[in-house]
Amino acid sequence: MRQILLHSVFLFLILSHSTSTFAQQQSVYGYVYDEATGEALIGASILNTTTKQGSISDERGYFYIQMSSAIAIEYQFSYLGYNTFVQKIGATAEPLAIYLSSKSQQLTEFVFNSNVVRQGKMSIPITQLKNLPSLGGEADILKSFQLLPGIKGADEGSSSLLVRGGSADQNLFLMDNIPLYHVNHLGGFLSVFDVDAINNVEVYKGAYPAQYGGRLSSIMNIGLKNGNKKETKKALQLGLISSKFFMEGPLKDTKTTYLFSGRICNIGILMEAVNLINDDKQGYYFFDFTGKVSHQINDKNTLFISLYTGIDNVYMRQHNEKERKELKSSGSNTHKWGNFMTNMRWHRQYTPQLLSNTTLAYTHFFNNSSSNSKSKIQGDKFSSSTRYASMIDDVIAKQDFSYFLKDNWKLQFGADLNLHTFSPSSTAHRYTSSDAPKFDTVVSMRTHALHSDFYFGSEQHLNSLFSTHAGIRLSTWLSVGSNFIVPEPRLGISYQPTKKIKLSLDYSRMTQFVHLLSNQGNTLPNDLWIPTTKKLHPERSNQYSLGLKYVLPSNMSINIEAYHKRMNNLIEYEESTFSFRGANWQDGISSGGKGGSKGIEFLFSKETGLFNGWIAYTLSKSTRQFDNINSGLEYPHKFDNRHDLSIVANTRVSKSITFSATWVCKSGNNISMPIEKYYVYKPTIFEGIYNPNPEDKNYYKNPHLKAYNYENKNGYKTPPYHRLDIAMNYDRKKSSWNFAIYNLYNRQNAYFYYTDDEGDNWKQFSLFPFIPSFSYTRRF
Amino acid sequence: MVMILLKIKSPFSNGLFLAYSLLSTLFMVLLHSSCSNEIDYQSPEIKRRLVVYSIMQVNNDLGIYVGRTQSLKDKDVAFVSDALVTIVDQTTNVCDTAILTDQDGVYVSNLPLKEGHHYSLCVEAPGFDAVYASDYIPAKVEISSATFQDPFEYSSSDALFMGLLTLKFQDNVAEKNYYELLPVHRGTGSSGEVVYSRIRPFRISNEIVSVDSEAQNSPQSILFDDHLCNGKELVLQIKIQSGGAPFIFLRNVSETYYHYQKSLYTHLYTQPENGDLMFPVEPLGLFSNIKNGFGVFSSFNQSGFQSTSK
Repeated sequence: MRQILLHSVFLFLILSHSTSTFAQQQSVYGYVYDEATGEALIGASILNTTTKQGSISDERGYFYIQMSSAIAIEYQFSYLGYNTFVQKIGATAEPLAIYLSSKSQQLTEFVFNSNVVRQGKMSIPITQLKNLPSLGGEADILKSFQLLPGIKGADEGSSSLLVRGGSADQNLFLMDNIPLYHVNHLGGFLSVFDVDAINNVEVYKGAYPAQYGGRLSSIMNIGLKNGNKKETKKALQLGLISSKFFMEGPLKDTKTTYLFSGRICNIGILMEAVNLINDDKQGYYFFDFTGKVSHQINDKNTLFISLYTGIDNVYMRQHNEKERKELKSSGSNTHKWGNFMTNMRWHRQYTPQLLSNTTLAYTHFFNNSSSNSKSKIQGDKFSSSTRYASMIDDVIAKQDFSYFLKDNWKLQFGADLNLHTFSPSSTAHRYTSSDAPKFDTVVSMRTHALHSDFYFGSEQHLNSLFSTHAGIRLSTWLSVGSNFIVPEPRLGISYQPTKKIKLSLDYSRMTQFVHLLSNQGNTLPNDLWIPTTKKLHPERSNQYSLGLKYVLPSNMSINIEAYHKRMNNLIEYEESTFSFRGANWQDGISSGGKGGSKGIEFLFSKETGLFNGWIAYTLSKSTRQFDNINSGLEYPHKFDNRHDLSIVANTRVSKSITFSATWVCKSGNNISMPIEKYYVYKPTIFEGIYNPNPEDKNYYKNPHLKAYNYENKNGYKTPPYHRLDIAMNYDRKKSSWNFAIYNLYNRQNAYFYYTDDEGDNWKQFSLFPFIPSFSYTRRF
Repeated sequence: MVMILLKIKSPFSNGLFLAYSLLSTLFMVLLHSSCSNEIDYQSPEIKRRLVVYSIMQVNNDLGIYVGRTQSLKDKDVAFVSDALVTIVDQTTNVCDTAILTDQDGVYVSNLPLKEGHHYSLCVEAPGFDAVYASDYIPAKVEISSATFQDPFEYSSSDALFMGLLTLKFQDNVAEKNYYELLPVHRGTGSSGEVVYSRIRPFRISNEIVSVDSEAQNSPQSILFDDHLCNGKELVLQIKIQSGGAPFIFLRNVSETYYHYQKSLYTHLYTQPENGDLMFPVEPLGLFSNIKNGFGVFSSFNQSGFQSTSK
């Protein structure tokens, strides 16, 4: 009853604002682009120079300003790092195209979205991201976001994101608004996102807009570039981890642009070179490909087609010929995993106020392992093959609308339909021989689910003091044996008493129907994506946040945000359970867990100038509680790092050379260490431990198997983690060099602990020492 | 490797490419140059608890081991020799007190152990909380046929010839069953007794068998339940070391035994002595059905079958 009342209040708040008619009004509207590339500029400012009021461009570079008359008014178009453009503009019937020119070839300045209505949203410009030091000289989006407050990584070198006390599976990664399920290569050391193909990245860790949902802790939306409208550009990059080729440009009619980017792992190439001299072959490689084609049908209609595919592969191949009984045999083992995503979107502008996006998409994640063997013995042939597979498929249809009631009031509403297909585990085995029938065994458990969402959201600057955002999202889940309808209200309000101070208060409820089972620290791709079922209810969270922004001179600012998040119906592997290959995965899961997370985030940033950067600090606490784990007692989350500090500094020493450095320091992780040991028997052939005959070799004399007691889950705190990385970028017109050092002072941070057989000496294993690296990019 | 790389045409000069190759090699070396340092870890002092280990088998004497938990630094096994061990046949309400034997910490009971009966165990000792457990003995299941094709293939990873064992048995649809398979070689000892020796390694070719909890490369035994083959005839193929048709023990095990065995291998795999782990893995505790203590009280019912060479 209380929920119905609360939802009614939200709808009333949205609808009680006097609604303007839907008739077309006098307005100026259009798109803001980068003059050099034709790419949309997101967050560009459009300001009436007289009234000092205006708007900002959205994710498509689109802006809309309502005019009281048809008289031309002077507007100023500006975007950080670009030259300001001023023009007198009257009401228009056709959309404007405003092109801004970049101030310098290499952008080092950045902005943390000063003009957005809500807190909880963060982004780092791609050009800035490329300058940050990284492992192997490979710019990585996910690792860069780990430097922001409230967002941290998991283990050393991992690209996994842990946002405000959440787990790695509680983040929704969208590429052009379509989910990708597994976003890592190399066991988590590198993400699947190629920075050269990306136009913008934004992360919501709170105050979620109504159009986003499906995960508890964050939404990361990666927008691909549309392709350079002006000229064809090519680049070849050679790094120590991967090499890549990038190409973008217009087609003949310039209404169509394209972008292609492909990467391949250098480790795989080197291993293949070694395999040339070995009979048995083994190795690892990954590759990925990102592509997009954009076609402007006319001024009001544009078509986009995006594609992503990427694969990781670990393999071993053997071939033997042995003298005994003229035996010839060969075999292979492979473990392959990857994503495939394709997306077609039609963008239409019905009126200057009403925009629409219609999307059809398909996304697929798979994890397969197979072993095959063939033998020939004295003319008889035999073969056997075994295949294990896990996968998740989505077929998606979406319809989204944006409606500008006024230039300071935007509505967003729409719906999406997602047909999920889950196959957490399927196995197939085949045996053939020349003198026996073929023998097949196939075991497959496949589940379908229909997931739909309907949403309505409003963002409004009420006046110079107050802004609000409110929305409601209705998520439904339909599967055999499980049906759920979950409303997710969203509400936020900002108060700006002066130009320098802004306060905000936000509330969001999120629901997660798709879960990832992970071996509590094992980041390998054998994690299982599983659906909500009759036994496994959807995970839910309620998050409150309170924020303060204070603007300082010289483009500096301080952001402080406090949050509190409660999570319910969490799932985890039960204790004593490892990864699954059988079909009865539901039996080894502990569900109904609770999670609590709270913290305060500080961000001091200097966005412009010769020397810029930011300091991010988070003070937080995160816990979990499951009835079947740790005897039902609450325990700290493994990555409950009380203090987390990141310092990022950039400086430009000349037109071509920039230096950057990052220092990260955080409290240790919480791990389970043994508190005592005991001895038991390993089952023997007869299984009796009582030995009536001492001469009988089939009995063990004493218990010989050592077991450990790990009570007090996550009760041991590892030492603090800290690390300094530096990088230098040397940019010329046709080429760029990046030199980086990871872990400059060779800090030996704990990766895991182990002991000798006696249990006397405990050791800490550290993963990455001092590692220099470089990459070279050639542009054509 | 460098020569191969130099032959690839590229916009880079040979000198630069040589430098790149050397730097790549250095990068790979450093990437794998992890290191270890000693740390000072002291486990807390806590009240010790009893450890009980006992597996019931039909028509066998029941041996019960009683020990206790101990500090990480203790060198010797800590057993308990002054415990009172009581076993009750809950089906017939007959009870027995186990007697201490010459084996350290091992007590023996002559209580008849019968198929289908439920049993409970209670162990009390001075200075410890009393512990309790219960389990049942499942019905026997027989193998209907087993053949061994030798040799079948050569395994490079094991440097061994492997044979292929194919066996069949019928699952009982009326109840939930758990199974364990042990292929062994059967021989004769010096005193004329029958001696069984383990055959290693296995390669389970049929994924209908759950191998979740076992280190893939060297499973101790083949453990699985009947949820994928309930009531059907199960056909399994197992690759084992060449060298004569094996003898096969098929055990119908209790659910407690099944969970204990599954957790045993994962517990061993995730133990802190495993310094070879590539990625940090969450340590997993060993399953126990001993209330207030550790260990296991479980059972199995075993049949044997000699396979024939194909």
